[in-house]
Amino acid sequence: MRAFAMVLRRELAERRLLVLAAALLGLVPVAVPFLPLGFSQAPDARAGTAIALALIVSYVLALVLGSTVVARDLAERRLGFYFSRPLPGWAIWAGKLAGAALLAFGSGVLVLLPSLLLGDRPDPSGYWGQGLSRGMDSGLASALWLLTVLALLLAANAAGVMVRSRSPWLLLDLLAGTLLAGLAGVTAARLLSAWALGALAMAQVGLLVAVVLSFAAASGSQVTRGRTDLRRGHRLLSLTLWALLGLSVLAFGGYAQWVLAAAPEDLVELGGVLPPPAGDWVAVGGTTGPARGKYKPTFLLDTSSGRSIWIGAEPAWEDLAFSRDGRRAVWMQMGSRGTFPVTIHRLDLDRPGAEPVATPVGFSESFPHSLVLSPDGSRVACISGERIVAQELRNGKLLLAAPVLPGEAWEQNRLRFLDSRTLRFYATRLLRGARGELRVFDFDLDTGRTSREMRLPGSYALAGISPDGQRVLLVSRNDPGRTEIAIADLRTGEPPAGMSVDGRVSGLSFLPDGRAVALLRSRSRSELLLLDSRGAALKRFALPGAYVRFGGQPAPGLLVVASTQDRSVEKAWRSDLLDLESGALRPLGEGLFPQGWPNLPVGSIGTQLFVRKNGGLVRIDPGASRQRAILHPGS
Amino acid sequence: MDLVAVDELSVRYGRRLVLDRVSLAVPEGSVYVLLGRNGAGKSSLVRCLLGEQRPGSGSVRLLGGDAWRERAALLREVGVVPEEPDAPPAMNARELARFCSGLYPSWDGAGFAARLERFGVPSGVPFGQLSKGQKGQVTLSLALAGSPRLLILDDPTLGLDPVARRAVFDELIVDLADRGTTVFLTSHDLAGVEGIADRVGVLRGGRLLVDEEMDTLKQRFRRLRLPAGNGHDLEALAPVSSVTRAWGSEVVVGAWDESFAREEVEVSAMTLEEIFLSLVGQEGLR
Repeated sequence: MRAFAMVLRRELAERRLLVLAAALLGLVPVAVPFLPLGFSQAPDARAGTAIALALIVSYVLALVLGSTVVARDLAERRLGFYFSRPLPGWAIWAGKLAGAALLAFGSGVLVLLPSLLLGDRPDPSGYWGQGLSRGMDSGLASALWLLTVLALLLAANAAGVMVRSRSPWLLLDLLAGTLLAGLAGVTAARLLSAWALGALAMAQVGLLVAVVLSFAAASGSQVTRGRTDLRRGHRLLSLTLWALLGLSVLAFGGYAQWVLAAAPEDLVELGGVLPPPAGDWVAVGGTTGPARGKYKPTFLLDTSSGRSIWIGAEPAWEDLAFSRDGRRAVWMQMGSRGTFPVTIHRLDLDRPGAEPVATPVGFSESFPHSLVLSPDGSRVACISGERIVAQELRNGKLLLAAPVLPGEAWEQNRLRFLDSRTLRFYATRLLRGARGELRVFDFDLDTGRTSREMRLPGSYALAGISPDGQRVLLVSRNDPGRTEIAIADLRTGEPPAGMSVDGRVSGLSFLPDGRAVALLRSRSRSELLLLDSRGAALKRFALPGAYVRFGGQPAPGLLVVASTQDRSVEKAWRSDLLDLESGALRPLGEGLFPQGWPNLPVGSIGTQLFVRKNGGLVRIDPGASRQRAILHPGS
Repeated sequence: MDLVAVDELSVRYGRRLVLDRVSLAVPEGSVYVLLGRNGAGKSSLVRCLLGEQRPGSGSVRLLGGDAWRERAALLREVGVVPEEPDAPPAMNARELARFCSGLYPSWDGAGFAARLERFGVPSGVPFGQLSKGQKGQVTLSLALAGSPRLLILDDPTLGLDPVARRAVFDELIVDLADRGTTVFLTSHDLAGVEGIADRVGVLRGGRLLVDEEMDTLKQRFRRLRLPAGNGHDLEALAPVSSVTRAWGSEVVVGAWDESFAREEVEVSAMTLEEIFLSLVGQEGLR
């Protein structure tokens, strides 16, 4: 260590003028608020200038010192001064590079010092730090700053040796560097396109550390084993560097592969389940464990066989649709680098072993939404930019490109196929009184024209659409403390009919038989209101729990209701079966949260799926009194 | 004990063989002078001795230890004067001495100061601003101030004027006389080293042509002037070179034997420089 300290002291002493220059430069930020530059906040101006100067000084010094500290001494045959003395090679290497690193980083700190002494606390997550270290605390930002200085210094050192040696190994360096950078870029793009941003951030930090260590080991090998022979040193540096960096990039690739290979069983928390109207496939999404950077994949999962297909990340259920017969699913997928075009993919769920297929339907300019699939699975429609677009799935033939209603007041734009030929578009304008309205357009996809247009005045929110698309559930809260529920039959176009209820409506849905259910909540009491197909109240049942959600109908006449006294405790939910005739409740179990909703076909898979309080997914068939675990949490 | 022991040393730079199975030894207390033209491999051999260059094959032992593996420990007792004075340009002689004093167990600070004074080198001027001769003198002073058992000098007088060259050898002679330091020296200054060398090695094309005591070397080499018309069989005397003149021929022999003396043959002794030129000089002239 004594030898190391001697070399370090020597290196620092040789460049002591840099320290003085940095100390003087540190006074510049102090003067900035007094300059006529239009800064209104003196501490902000000081801190911002100090951070910018400190970063520039440290990075420039890291590059300059890094490229010269060993390479120039070697090229000018001055490293022999150390090597002809009783100094171990590691002490020479470590002393010289530590000296350069201390000067580069220390000069940056010296530039920052006057601002800190004046009480400024440069916040890297604040205004001035944006783009540099968003969302980090000062400690982490400083560590990354130091790591970046080291990375630049060591990379510049390696580059300096490579260039000055003028050996043919430089060609290998260029090839290996390009190849590894390309591989790392492709790997990063894979994670990026899957929105595995947490995993990417972790891998980037890991890769940065690996790069620093690889450069350090290569540089150490070059000096301690290559000694004063520049060409031999270059060879050793290149061999060590590319071997270690190659391993690091391979490890990065392996990690990315592992992250992206996550299966539904790897989800430690289920984010949601989207069930189809028929069939055994469901879409499941959720969060993986911290080792995968809490990556959130979405899958199509065959609940009968356990087969799963990755379809994207960060569940966005509006980007996925099932055909009415449950034999086909379509979803939107970004390009392989997370860029446009967005392509519609399909999977034929009824074909065993079928793989996802990219269809000719793609969008290059804006991310489409509100994806719907025709009942026979042959046509898709969505809203892309300002247009409603419908296309043939088979060949991408454009069937419709109609403008969406202009103006910001239009909300809740929804699409629904009435049949494979007719696409219906719903839009509401939530303005007080008669100024609000519901607009409905029917498009004939064979002609590409509007076949029908309807207008229902009234400031209603669109709360539900019947499975056949012909009736809508509307809700309005014009009067504080009361809620108006109405059903409109779009076939007749008559004004909505309904009723007014006390309190809030926390849930509203059609049932498959045309009736509707509403969940009412007032003064910690919960009730379920059963409405007939015209919106008239049929029955009212008191429900347990301050907060209630409903699920589907797993068996005829039975509706799943989930309740809790404290909705902040996710696992406190319990589920019961409500007999829609008698109002009797039959317990299904504690810690079960339903995944379906009332308008799903009776007994379809969605009506029987529950998330358990341990995070697992279970299918419960109340008719057969059968329970089957679909997913075990984080197994 | 041999302070330097080189055995079957070969070194390659890529495909080029710069040292080809070189073996030599330097006993303690002796002065070994290695001669050779530029590119003969002298500096490569010195770099191997200093543990800066790893031998391709063979071994290099310094003070009994492996020069490559134990470099740092061995150099505590070795003084080094490189071919190109290589100290950091911003350091002056005083700072250099302060730095080196912590590295050598028997540092002689007073001796260092006295030598600088003898050389007339200012101790406060940065190394980079000194003349080439002064740089050499500072490096030699640093090497000697460590009170080394072995001194390795790689052409220390290269590029120096005659006065500076003389000063270097005078200082060496003083040190040799005072302490009996073992010296391994490469040089092109054959006249300068002739007076101090105990043993001489001559490298040519990476191979060691000669490795013997100075006295025996000088005894076996003679220049013969043979008049024309007299047939002499010189094969037994190992002729090294032969030049035909108008009056006869001039032959250098490498295995002189007094029994060959003839009245008509003029025999003269040779200087180290003449011997060296006869061994390696012809090659360059061809």
